[in-house]
Formats: sequence, structure tokens, C-alpha cells
Amino acid sequence: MSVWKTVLLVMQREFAARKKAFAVSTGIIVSVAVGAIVLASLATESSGGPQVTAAEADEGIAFVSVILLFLGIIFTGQVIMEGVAEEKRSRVVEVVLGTMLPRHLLTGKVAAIGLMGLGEIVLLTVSTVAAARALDVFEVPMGTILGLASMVVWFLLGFALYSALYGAAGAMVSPHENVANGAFPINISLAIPYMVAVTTAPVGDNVVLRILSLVPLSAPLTMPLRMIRRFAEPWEIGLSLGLTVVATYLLIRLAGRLYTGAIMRGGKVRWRDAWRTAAHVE
Amino acid sequence: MLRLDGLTKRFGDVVALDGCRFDVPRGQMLGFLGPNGAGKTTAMRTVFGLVALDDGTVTWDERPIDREHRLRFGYMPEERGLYPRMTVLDQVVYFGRLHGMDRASADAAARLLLDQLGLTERLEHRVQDLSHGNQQRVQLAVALVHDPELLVLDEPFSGLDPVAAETMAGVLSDRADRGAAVLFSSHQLDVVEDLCQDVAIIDNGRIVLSGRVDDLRAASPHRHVSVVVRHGGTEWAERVADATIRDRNGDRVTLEVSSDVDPARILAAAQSAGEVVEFAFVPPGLSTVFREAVRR
Repeated sequence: MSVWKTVLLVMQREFAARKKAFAVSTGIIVSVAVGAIVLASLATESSGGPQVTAAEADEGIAFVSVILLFLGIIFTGQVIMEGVAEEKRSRVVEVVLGTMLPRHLLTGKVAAIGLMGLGEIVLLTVSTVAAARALDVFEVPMGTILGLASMVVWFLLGFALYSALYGAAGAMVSPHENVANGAFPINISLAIPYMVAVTTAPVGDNVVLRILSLVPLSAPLTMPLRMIRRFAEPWEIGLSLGLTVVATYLLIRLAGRLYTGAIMRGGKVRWRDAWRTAAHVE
Repeated sequence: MLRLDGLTKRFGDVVALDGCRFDVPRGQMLGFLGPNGAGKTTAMRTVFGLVALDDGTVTWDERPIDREHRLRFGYMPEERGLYPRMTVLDQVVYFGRLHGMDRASADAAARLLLDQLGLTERLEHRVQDLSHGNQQRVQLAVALVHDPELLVLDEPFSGLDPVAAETMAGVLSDRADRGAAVLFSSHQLDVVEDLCQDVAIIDNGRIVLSGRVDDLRAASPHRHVSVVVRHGGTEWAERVADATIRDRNGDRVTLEVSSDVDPARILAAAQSAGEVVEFAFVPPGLSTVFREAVRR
């Protein structure tokens, strides 16, 4: 049996186990967002015609996209981390690893949860933009739509980068420990660019935002914003993408090794021990 | 045939395996015995690549074990584990498919097996809602669903009531009769004695004794003599030379003697006390063999 088939089986199990929770959360988020658009439309109807210009819409959409990316990555990351920790806690992982390598299990889990998270973001974005256009709440320039499409790319990159870290962190928590403890350092590295982006972007482009949009750990949250607002030069976009792709590849390798070293060890695992243990495997 | 050869593994200063070596041929059921911490679990994990060995090889039919082999093996780890929120049927089907079965045959095999294990009424129940005993049965089903060529079970009898233990024993001997190699560890020496012809005893990461249970018992330097003298009490036994009294119970006394002692001498001593209604001169049981092997 091929490795791909094994990974697909893991993905199928993840879909089956999580489809209800994802359907419910997507349903809630989409109805809240579309509901807000409808309310906005009712409010603007009395005064006649769209009051929000394309530039203002860009600003709002850029702002919202940062929030979406941040929440999307952090929520899917938590789901992955909790899923990994649960397999370790219930000890089912030893039975599973009798049939596959640790990295196959992690890959299947991350891919399935990532696709569901992406699906949620795409559904939300598409339904919100469609509702806004249909009800004529604000104009959405084509440039923004392209920017939104690039969000999918940035979500995938940011998600791949962070999910691997969340997976490794999930494998290292002890069975009785609160999973959130292990997530803290990762959440912080997401929260910093998020805070900078939402607090400074309304004022305009600035040097901190510019630097953060080039650094791989913060680029997925800050570069889409600079792209939608048309702050970013083409070379900046290229450089940022390139750096992030390289960093993502390296971090996936690193996290895969830490996961492998930690998942079969009982109790809380230190980074150094996870790294060393994995050095012998395969 | 499964062969573990020269397995060596250290965890820091702790030596878990120290040149451990034994074979499990197809159709054989091997009882793997040893005190706690002797290296049983570590040795069994090596079959599934779950331990990075410092030295030694694990082979199946003289080939190093790879992923394709492992798909034809069944494993029940010491730490039982299932997906708590998956239903019984889905769970067993999932593991069948992970071992390379297609959906239809995994489903058919899972239903048949769960039926044999008495879980027909529980197919749609979540594992977390089952009793401990039923969870154990699901765990066994997960190890068996793909009809493995090699079964590795770490303490399969621990925590089972006598009826469940009998079912487990029946299932394992059935698989061995059908040609599977079966390796299982246990602390219940009476179960092992009833169930397997062959055992391997590990201590401090080394196999200290292995072979046919009957041969190992016969090779013991001791014999057990169990005698009942009607209304004769047990005081006569104290006068038997070169014998240690192991147990007294009413008119029954159990003596331990050297294997070269002439049983007639003991019988004569017993007859001097009264009518001998029971007399057995046998090699010691597996538990004595075990204690002598690990010297604890």
C-alpha cells in the first residue's frame, strides 16, 4: 500500500471526525458576517446609494483579512494541536504508528484540518463579498478581489508553517497538561504581527509593518494587508513569498522531527530531548 | 519466522535491551516472560520500528522488517489505545484499511470478528461509552482484523476476568493453529503454562532461558513431591532427609527435592505414616522455573 493511500486514509478519518464541528462553526461565522452585511444594507438604504467608497472598502477589507488570517491560523492550529495531543493521551498513536511513520500521520492530520480551515475562510470571504455586491453595500474593486484571492495563498503558507509547529507542540505536552500551555509561544509569534497590523495599518504603511511583512513568521499576516492596500512593491511581495516558502519548508522538517521524537515519549517532552530522540529514528 | 537478534538499547544509563535474541516461527505461540522492567515492552516495540535500536536486527523470514511487512502484522500495545469518540465498527474498519484492506473486505472482516467477540450489539457505540472489558475486545479486534501473519500482544491477559481470558486464549491459539506466529508477554504464568509450548524468559534485557516449557521444567535441578497420607498428618515429612517442605495443607504436603533423589525413598517414608492416597513426583511448575531463571 502506498504512502499516499495511508495519508489519504488519515485525512478521511479527520474529515469524518470533525465535519460536524466545522459545519457548525462555519454556519455561525457565515451567518454572522452575512447578517452584518444585510444590516449595513438596511442602514444605507434610507440614505440612498453606497456610501462607502472603493478606497474605504479596501481599507476595511484589508483590516478584516488580517483578522481572518489570524483567527484562521490560530484556530486550525489549536485543532491540530488538540488532535495530536488527544492521540497521545488516548495512546492510540502507538497502534497507528505500527502501520505508518510519524510524519505520515502528522501530514494527513495537518492536510485535512488545513483544508477544512481554508474551506471555512473561502466560504466566509465569498459569501460576504457576494452579499455586499448583491446588496450594493459597498463597491469592491477588482484589485481587492485579486488581493482576497492572494489571501488563500497566504493562508496556505501561514497555515503550513504554523500547523507544523502546533503539531510538534501537541506531541510534546504531557497527557495531563492543558494543551494551551504548549501553544503559548506559537500564539505569541502570531499575536505580535497581528497587533502591529491592526493598530498601525489604519494610519498607513510604516517601517515596522514593512519589516514584519518580509519576515517569514509574520509575513502571512502582514503581507496580504500591504498587498490589498497597495503598499507593497512587487519586489517586496516576491522576496516575502520566497523567504516564507523556504522558511516553511525548513520549519516543516524541524517540526516533523520534533513530532517524531516526542509522540511516543510519555509525559512532557523537552525540545532538546525530542530533537535528540528523533535523530536516531529511520 | 520472526527473529530478534542481538537487540541492544540504552535509555541514558538504563540498559533496556542487552543482546536480546529469540525466534517465533509461524504456527507457534511464544510466551514472553520477565520481571517488570526486564525489557519485554521495548523488545516488542522494536518489531514495529517504535524503538531506535542501538544495535541488533529484527527480521521476518530473514528480511529486515519494513512498512509492507508491518501491514501484515497485528499489534496490541501494553498501553491500550483507541480513538475514544469513534464507533466500534468504524474503528475496526479504519485499522483494517490502514493495514491495506479495501473498504468492503475491512467492513466484512470487522463485522465477523466483532460478532465472534460478542460485540454485535455495540457496533454503533462509541468506544468511550463501552465497559473496560468491551474496550479490550475492540482492541483485540483492531489487532486481528486484517488476519495478520504475526501477532504481537503486550500483556493481552492483564485486567481480563476468567471468562474473557479464556476467550482471549481461544482466539490466540486459533490464530496460531491457522499458521500465524504469535508472541505475547504475560505475568500470568499459569495461563502461559496452559497455553504455550514455548517460552522465552528475559531479565535485564537478555534472554536467560528459552525453549519448550516441558523441557525447561525437566531440566530444573529440582522436583516437587506432592503426597497425601490419609489421617497421617504431615509430620512424617520433617524426617525425610535432603528435602525442603514447600507447603502443608491438611494431610497434603509438598516437598522440594533434588532431581536425582529416588522417589521410592520418599514414598517409603510416607507409607510409614499411614495409607498413601496420592503421590506425585513432578518437575516444578513454570513459576518455579521462572523464579530460578531470574533469581529474584
